[in-house]
Amino acid sequence: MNKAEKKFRLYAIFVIFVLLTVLLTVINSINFTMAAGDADEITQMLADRQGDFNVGEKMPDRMPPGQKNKDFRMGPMGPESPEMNASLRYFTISFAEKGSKVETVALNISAVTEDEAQEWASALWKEKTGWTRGTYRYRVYKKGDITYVTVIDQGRELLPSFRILIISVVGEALCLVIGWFVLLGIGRIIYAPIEEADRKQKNFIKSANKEFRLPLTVISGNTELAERKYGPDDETRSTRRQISKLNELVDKLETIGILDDCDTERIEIPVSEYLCAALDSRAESFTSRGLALTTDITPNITLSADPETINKLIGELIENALKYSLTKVSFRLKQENGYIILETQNDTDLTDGSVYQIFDRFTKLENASEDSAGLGLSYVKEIVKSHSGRATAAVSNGIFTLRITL
Amino acid sequence: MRILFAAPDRDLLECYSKILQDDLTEVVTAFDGTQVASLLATEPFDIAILDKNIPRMDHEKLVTRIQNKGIPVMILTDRPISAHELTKTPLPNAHLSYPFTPEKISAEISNILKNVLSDEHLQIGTIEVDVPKYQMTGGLRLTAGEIYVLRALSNGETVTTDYGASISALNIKLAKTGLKTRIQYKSQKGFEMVTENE
Repeated sequence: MNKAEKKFRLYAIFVIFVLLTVLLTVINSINFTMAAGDADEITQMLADRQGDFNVGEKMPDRMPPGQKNKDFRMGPMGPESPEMNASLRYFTISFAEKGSKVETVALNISAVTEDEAQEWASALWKEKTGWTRGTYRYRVYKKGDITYVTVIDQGRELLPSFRILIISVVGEALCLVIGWFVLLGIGRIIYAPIEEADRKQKNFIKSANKEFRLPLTVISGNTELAERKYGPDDETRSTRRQISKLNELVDKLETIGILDDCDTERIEIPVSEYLCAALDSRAESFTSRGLALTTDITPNITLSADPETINKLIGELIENALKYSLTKVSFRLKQENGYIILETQNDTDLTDGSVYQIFDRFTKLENASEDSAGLGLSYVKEIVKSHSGRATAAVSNGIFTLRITL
Repeated sequence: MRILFAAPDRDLLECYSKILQDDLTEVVTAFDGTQVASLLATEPFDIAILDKNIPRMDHEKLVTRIQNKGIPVMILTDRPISAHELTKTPLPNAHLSYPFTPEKISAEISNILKNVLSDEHLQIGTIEVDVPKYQMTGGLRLTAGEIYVLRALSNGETVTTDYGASISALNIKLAKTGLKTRIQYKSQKGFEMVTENE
């Protein structure tokens, strides 16, 4: 499994996870909200009967089969079931004279003693309604100066909701496991066209690079022969300029090709030395272009890398700075938390946020020179990627920053 | 001077044999490995230029055969040479990657022959280089690029990072000698040969 395919599967499974979690969270939330609504309806019925089913109006009776009673909201299974007063486990405690006088109105629950019920209700009598001790629903209401606290046991009614919750969690886990295996199976089919396009691009780059090399050598040789025979003229000079541009392009394509092959060999190389050497050798170029160069290079930083590509990376950064800086350039190399940070900054006429595609192959920015192929920084990124690093670029307030973490 | 130029592309051979040929230089061309082998058996040459993708015979076998006859070899490659390739055997006297210019190939040929015909011995610290034999301490073989770097270091001349592959290859070879000497870049001074206790 290649890196991109693995990434694709991880993203896909993450999306499935998020969608399932959202869907099941909504279903379970609705389920528990409805259960709370049913419980509130019962506590309201109790409140209407001053906290005791044996007081006031009798519960409506069940209609014969085939007939409907508008009082039955959910039929015999609903809160208004005629069996409610027999099956509901509840207690109601009243508080008079600002809570000092406590009285048990109803105690239709064997799991709670009267003292416990009074103590429990005392903790609730300043509230309104809600869940207490997990599966108990309470309502606090007033009739004249007396405050009533009714607590009903909804454990049995909530059981299906909890079952649905457990089934949702287990089902989601199962879906993710099955989804992962399905993605393993069909991921290749889904990914095949992307992989094919990627492979074709790499093959094109490799073969274009290889096929250009020899003809360029022959064209260069024939230009030399033509000049020897008839003397140099505008045409031969133009041909030489074009050859030179193509040579540069071939050089960049070569590096990208090597990196795509992942066949670079690593040795411990002194990055600080390489950077110092490269900057020293181009110091005159910076001066002749009127660019102020500042450096901050921590000595003795080494990296296990392919020396050729690191040399090319540094060379490309310097060329880039030389081409696109307006007045000043800085190079900084340091080690931070075990990572090597190489950062270049220069002033630029690019606008903020205009460099988001800077690392794409054949991308030319608005300040690119006419002969630019749009490969320079794409190949910087390829080199960095091949060494498991990260390259970022940004423009802020007229300063272009390129940061490489290795 | 006689040059054996072997490559599968006829245009290349035709063009560069005309460029390299003059009153003092004769260029003999070959399109494949068997032609190279038969020419080597019958004719004398001062230098051989060999395309790495020469058909009908492995280029490494040809390099060994040519060098055994005391003829220096330059290999033409379709990609730039890496430091690790410079540590493999058999090691040609020089590599040149396509695309190159007539000036470049002429300069490389002159450089190779100048080394072969000289009696130059370089001494850089504890490292000795036998230039005509393209060898250094420990019998390790060198290329023209590596000799250029060592000569420049010996003369205190500047070496640029364009020779990065040669410098890296030399460091690998120096490590093999066990002399704890390596080429290192020092800020403001350039590349220098240093030993571990320096």
